[in-house]
Amino acid sequence: MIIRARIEKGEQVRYISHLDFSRAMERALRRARIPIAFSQGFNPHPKMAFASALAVGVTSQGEYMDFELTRDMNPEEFKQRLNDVLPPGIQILSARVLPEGQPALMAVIAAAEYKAKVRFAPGGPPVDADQVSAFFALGKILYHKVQKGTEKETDLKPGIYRYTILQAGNDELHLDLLLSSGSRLNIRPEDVLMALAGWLHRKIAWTDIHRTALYQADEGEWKEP
Amino acid sequence: MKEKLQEILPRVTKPTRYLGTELNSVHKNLDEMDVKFCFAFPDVYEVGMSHLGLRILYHLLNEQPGVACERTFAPWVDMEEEMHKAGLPLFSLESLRPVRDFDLVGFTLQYEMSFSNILNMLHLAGIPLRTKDRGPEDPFILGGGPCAYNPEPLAPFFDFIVLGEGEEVILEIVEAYKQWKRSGDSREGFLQQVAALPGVYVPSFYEVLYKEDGTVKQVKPNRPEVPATVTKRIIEDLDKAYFPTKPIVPFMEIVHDRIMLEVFRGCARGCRFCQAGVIYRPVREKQPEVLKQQARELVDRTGYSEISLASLSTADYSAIGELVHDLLDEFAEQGVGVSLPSLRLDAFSIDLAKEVQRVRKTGLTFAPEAGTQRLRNVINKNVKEQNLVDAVSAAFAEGWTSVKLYFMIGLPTETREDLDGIAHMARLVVDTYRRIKGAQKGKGVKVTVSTSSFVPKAHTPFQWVAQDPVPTLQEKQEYLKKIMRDRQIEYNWHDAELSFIEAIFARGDRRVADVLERAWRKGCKFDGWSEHFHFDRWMEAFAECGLEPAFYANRVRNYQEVLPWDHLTSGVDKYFLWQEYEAALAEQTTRDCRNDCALCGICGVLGTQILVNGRGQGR
Repeated sequence: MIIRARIEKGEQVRYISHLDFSRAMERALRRARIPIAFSQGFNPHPKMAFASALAVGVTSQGEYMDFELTRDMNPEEFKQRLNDVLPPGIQILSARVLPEGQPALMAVIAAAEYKAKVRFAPGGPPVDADQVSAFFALGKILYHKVQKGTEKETDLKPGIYRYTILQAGNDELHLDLLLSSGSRLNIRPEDVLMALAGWLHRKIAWTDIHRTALYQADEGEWKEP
Repeated sequence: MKEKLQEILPRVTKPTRYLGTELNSVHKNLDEMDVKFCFAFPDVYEVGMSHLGLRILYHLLNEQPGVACERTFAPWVDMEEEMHKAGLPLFSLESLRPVRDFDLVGFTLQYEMSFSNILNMLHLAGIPLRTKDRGPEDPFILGGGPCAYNPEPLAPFFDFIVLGEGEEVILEIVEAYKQWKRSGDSREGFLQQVAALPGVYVPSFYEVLYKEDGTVKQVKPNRPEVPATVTKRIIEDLDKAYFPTKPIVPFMEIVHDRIMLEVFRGCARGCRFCQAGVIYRPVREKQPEVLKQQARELVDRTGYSEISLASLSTADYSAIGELVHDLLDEFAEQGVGVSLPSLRLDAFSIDLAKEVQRVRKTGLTFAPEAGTQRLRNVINKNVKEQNLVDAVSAAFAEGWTSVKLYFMIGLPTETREDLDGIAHMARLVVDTYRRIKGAQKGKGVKVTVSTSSFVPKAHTPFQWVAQDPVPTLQEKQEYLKKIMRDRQIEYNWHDAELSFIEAIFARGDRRVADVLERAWRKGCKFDGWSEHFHFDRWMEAFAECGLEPAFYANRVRNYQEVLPWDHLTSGVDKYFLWQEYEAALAEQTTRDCRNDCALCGICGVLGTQILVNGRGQGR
């Protein structure tokens, strides 16, 4: 039986890495005595799958994981037992049994939604909603990145599906972003913010990024995986 | 503070090092506490969190009402820079409070090369480095651990030092603090109070007089109520002693990412180079039933997949076969395995290894320490070549394909033959593999040989020995590289210059403290990390302080000399150590004290017995 769970990564664990998160989940499964299936071989590990790795410094209320169990279990019980032992900051928000034959999480995720807060460092032209809209209306949004010594230029525009300005002014900007996510085209919110800051000729003081949801494409609509 | 951290953390490597929100971490309201204790580990988080002592004391203190214990570690160089820029002082992980706001700050003294980090952390915290400069607003700085047995190089920086095992004395110290705070007495008043506690050493209450030749003339108290010698504390009954069964579970990968279950303290083997073997005497075992119960609670509360049975010589635990078997029976189904740290070759048994392998195969490590039987007799590591052959034969037959061997170079009376012996033993392992597995194509066996440079330590039979000079050690390393050129053998060695500095601090006196401060001011820190070790700066510091490093590391001492640590005792007789030294030079061995008491004196001094199998024995 496979249980698919929606998981929260809260403030207390904002800075842990994806690997740390994975290990914390493994230990919690053991503490909760969840009948998780183990892989074979030299170093057996629990069979759980992620939708996508969450970057360090980002919180989320929309992470998903699939857990393969050795015997059937009530998803509500699964959720309760894990929540009792999970470290502060990590919680199961909901759990359901995955019907047979469903494709892997990683394969179906196509978009991610974020709430992003940016504070700009003082100095430079003032930021307002019109300018931000103009940025998102550009035909191309080229972003330069140096990755492992090689320079790469990506056009972020096709992966920005939707944006909403929640608040703009006083050097602070709050945005809602729906971005392409997954193996085909993965746009990171940090990159969008960096590109925006560059275009506005401002420097970023800090950012607060929170993932609100992950989606799969289903008959032209975005749905929960 | 929190806001500034939010800006900084995304920019540093491994930000998880600076979080205090782990499972089972304890968060109390500091303002409601009678005593605020900060446990400071002078290295980065992932090294410090593997330290069992930290876990024990942290949870023990936090279980006391009105007492809070929080942690702080050495920030990595990038974090330190960010903290400077942002004006952030060293802070505790749990409440993000400045370390200087705590009442007591306790450093653990595990390794001489962490001393520069101690000064760095005091500086980052905004606490005056020297005790004489501290005022009513500053915390008391205390230290404990193996280096506490020769804390003289740290004497000007520490208000007081604790000798021995801390579980009982730390509570006495905290109690004394509560009373002192109510009394409104001066700082010195508090130090007088703790000096009266057995096991506590207040360096400022002692004066050191030197002779013309630079050796110590005398270490004497400068006030009447203080004892001439300070004796260590031990916990007699480990079954009843506090042991945390709900320890912090770090998020990040630490050096020991598993349950550390302490099975006994002390070691009866009497290897002559080993300080731990002397300072942790006598042997005291925990009963199997107690261990199993603790294991149950630990598996439940942590979720780790491996239980490591920790001690100085785990295979010597009298009920080891039964314990491993029972633990595996109980936990294998949950996917929890048992691992044993490096095992003595003469106590290694393939049955034991097979048991351990039931859940998960762990690496095999052995420490013969010396390449020939003669030299092993000198150091009293009574392990035979046949033991190695038997152990690896059995292991290879069961499917292991790699072995790690630890040796030391620079041991007293060492000759070229002994170095050849190291290569010989490595090749023996390779040949044994070929014999067992037949001539094979493909990878074959992997033998890793690692040599460290011998550092003579205080309170051991070799405390009178001269360390090999650096060029000699380096020559020996080159020689070994040459004679062990083999595809199946990988040779690692430790920086000889680092071992030289370690040796100076291991047997240094109070004057070396000035060198430590000078070197730190030149930028020395994280000396144990090769990319940050600056040998030239250390040498400059010695020259500028007018001290000769070779005086401390490379000089042979005689029995008459007053050693800078003679006023601190582990309970073992100094004369016994000298006799062991003479026996070493005569290549004579001494038996395991569980079978044959060699009259080291400890059971007499402390009124204890060796506790083995739940039964006392000893004189």
